[in-house]
Amino acid sequence: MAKKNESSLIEYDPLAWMNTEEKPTDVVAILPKQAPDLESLASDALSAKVILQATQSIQNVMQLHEQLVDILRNTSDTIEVDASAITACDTATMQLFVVLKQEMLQLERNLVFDFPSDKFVEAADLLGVSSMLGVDKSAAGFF
Amino acid sequence: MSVRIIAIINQKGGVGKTTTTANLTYALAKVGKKVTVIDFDPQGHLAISLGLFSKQHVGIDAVMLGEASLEEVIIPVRENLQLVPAGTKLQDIELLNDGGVQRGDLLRKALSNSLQDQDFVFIDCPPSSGLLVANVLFATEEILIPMASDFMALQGLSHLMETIRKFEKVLKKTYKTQLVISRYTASRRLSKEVVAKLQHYFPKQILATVIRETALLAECPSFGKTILEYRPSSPSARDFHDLASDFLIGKVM
Repeated sequence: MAKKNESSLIEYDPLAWMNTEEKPTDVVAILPKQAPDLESLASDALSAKVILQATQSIQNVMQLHEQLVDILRNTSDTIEVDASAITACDTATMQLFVVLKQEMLQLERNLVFDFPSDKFVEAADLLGVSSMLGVDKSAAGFF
Repeated sequence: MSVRIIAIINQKGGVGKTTTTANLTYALAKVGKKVTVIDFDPQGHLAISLGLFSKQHVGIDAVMLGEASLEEVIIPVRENLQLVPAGTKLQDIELLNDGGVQRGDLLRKALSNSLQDQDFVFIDCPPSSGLLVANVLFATEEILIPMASDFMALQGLSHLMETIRKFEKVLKKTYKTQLVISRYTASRRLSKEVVAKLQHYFPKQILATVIRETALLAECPSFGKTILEYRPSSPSARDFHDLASDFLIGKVM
């Protein structure tokens, strides 16, 4: 988090991430590999990014759950989920995202799905949670 | 030299996109540049700002949907300045779900090999980050970001830059990105701090002239006039005249 000059009128610096090359967020984790090393996660991280692999199912939902809980503990503001590569996403995963979204709302934090794939949007639609998750159909499927 | 296509973009509303587009493009046309401006906001405010009060024009919507050619929908609005209206179906394009990635490429295709006699094509983007903006980012190599000098504009800029970085990565290109400070209030310390913050993150990318917030700029759209026509000797008219000069010669802060 950017430091505040004592006399400055700007406390939080939304552009601070631009000082880091390429990565717009503080953490990038790849699933469903081994549990990610989150030690490097700064305690005051403003946002974290989770990149989902093509298939998300009940077989790896526990691992995703653990990772999200870790991030939630260490992140103060936003979790970005990159769902652009999803080709299959089951109910268990969607339920996890619904619970996470509710938790984030209670904590006044943000859960954002970046450019979700068509399949991800389709799954969210099918379960009636696309609106709740804020999945943007119009921006889906580009990446 | 081929035509330069520039997106005037910021998904945050109220930062001065349409005001900048109307006045900057007219100022460029006035010094002899051939300019086409595309109203890419379904609200059609740019067309109104340039004096077209009817919303019944066929526009870029029809071109993107293959129902008309670009030449058919162009409307000359001033000497050297022509407008492509939004059209009534542009809103529907924003909600297109079918067509996969191709639906992001409609504008680029619509503009390809067109307007080659023009110096500049400016696209006035909607205040959103959906399919229309995706189309713009597919179609352009240059971005001009109007930035109001307040904190929430910084927050909006952060989101916009994330989007731009994603498109750069996927499309494997780097946009020429410039900023213009709009709605600037010199008497506010916060305005100065916001500009300083922007200079830190966007060195040599901010056009030198700031556009001051004035009542006149808010008045002129209802007359269908740019500020250079409405009050040609006003400080705001001078701001846009200078901004056009900065844009042409690349004068930055």
